[in-house]
Amino acid sequence: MIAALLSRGRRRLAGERGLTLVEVLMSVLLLVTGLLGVFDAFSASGQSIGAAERTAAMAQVAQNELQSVEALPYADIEDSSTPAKTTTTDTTNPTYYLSTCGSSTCYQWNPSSSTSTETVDVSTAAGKVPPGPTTVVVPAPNTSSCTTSSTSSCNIILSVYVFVTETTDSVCSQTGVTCSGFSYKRITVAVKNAGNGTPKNPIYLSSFVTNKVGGSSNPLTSGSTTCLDGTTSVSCTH
Amino acid sequence: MHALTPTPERGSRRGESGFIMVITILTMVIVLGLIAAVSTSAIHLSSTGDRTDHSAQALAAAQAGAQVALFRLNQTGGATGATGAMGNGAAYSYTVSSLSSSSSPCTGLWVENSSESVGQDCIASTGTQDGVTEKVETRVAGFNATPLFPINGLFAVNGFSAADTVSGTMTLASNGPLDFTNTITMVGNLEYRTGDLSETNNACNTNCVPDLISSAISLPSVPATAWSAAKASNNDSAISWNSGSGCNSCFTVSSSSYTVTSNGANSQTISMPAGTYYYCNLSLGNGTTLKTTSWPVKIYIDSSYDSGACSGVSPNGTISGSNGFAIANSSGTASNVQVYFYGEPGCTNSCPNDFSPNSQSMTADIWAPYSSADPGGAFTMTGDMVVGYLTAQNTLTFNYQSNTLTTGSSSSTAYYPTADAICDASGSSC
Repeated sequence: MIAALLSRGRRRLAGERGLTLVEVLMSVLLLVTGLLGVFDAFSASGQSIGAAERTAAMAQVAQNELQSVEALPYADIEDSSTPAKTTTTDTTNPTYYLSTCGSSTCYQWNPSSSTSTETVDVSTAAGKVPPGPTTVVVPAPNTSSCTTSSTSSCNIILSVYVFVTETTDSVCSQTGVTCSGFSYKRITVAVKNAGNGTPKNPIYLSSFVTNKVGGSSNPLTSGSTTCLDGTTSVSCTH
Repeated sequence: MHALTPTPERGSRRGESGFIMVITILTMVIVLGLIAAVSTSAIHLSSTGDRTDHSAQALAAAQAGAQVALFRLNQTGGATGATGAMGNGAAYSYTVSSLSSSSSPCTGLWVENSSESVGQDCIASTGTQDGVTEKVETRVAGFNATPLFPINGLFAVNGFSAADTVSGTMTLASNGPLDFTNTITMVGNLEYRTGDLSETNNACNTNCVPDLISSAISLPSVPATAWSAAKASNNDSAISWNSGSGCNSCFTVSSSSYTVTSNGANSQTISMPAGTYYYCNLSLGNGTTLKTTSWPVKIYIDSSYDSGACSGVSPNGTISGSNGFAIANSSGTASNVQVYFYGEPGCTNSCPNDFSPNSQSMTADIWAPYSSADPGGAFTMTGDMVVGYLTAQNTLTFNYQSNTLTTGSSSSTAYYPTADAICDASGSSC
């Protein structure tokens, strides 16, 4: 009797050990699966965050570049050299959209329309806008050796292109409207990620700059012109 | 004998059954929560990056729209609204509204001028890119555009001399000496400064009215950019020698020069259709006529005094003919043929001799304030003219014809931006 009871007790104890082992195995399996998921999620998130960081940097660099060009005197807003076409196949390279037109260089400002070409405004003497590519880098944290000539330790490496083209406004084709030459300048800033990772496509920022009428004779600076601030006349400044 | 009952230890062990699974599931819930948080954060950061990109593109498009509106205002004198695409997916849409008073809503301050009424407009331009919208607002003030030719007739900025008779209907003015050695039968004012009028035998009489001016006449300017715009024009090779192939090689693209040299012909005709032309040198051979065939024709003669232009081109800055030349304009409207000389800005007594027609008549508006002209034969002109120094060696007949040319604007009003602002795109005003 005692022996039978002891035997039953040993079986019960043995059953409890088996159940714990299954639990442990399942738990380990679940944990491994979960950790792999965590690893993948962190990896994907890291890539996504890196891409977002690069995209934001590209947008910021493009905006800064556009603003610096817009701040130049109108006559200086010309490419300082003829931009070179460096690819005939890679559509993610902004120079893909350059072409030769007569004795000039043209740029296709709308990538989806092959007829949207304009002459690139180039002046080696007066132009103050390098067409690029110009390298812009963002160093990795706690790194001091990241420069535009040594980019191996850089977090973000960007190539900046600026194309100044001559735009003729549609109003010039209206009867009675006479335009002299082109109407205004189109500034296209393209910023491409030149480092690893995404995005592969460049960011394009585009705007127009018109010439001031009247040259240097601006009536706003005349003594006879004032601005009304509430009820007080003040000098006009822009 | 006692019945064996489960000891408390055994009961505890049974209670622990599945405990590891519970802990594991709880751990997994926490891990999944972490994954969700990280993923959400990554997605948020990614969309923030995209939004930064789209916002920059939308803002640039909005500013482009404002620039287009300003250009169209200056070209046509009025604009209401339009849309356009920037090619990178961004688009703009602008409206132009007239401001009636200082309380009319628009960025910037109300502009007033003591000598003229200033009209004001508000340009509101919206840029969009992938659902992101940005808005800018610009206040523009419209002033009377400055006439390009300040004198209704002939304005010889630094001086004028006539060896023979001067006739026609015009105002003849100079900030320098005016020397006449023969009769003046012209009808109109003779604007001169103290001590600068020299008449042999009191030549100015009858219909000529000497008018002493107390201050120098201001010289408006052609915007420097007009030259770069002209340089970019593609009409330069459109002129054609009347004998067909006789002068095909006369135009040299690299030097922007048209030089009639080896055809051996005299008194020939070169046809010039409507367009904007840019040359460093226009050397027309012997007695050639530059015949405009459609209009308007604008000819810009640049010089090496224009930084970076015409370097190495000799001669430069001139229209010349070995025995004079003519410009034919059968339209009868002088402003249909406009000729601009860059000359040597700042010159006074020794401006380069860039324009010397001979025994010719022409109908044109000529802008050459930094050049001198030295017509050797009888010179008859209809139109308007500004020249640095004019030496008429023979008879001069000048008849003024009015024009609407202004300094940079083709309308009678020139619009200047006075203030601009980036607005809250969702708001109705800045």
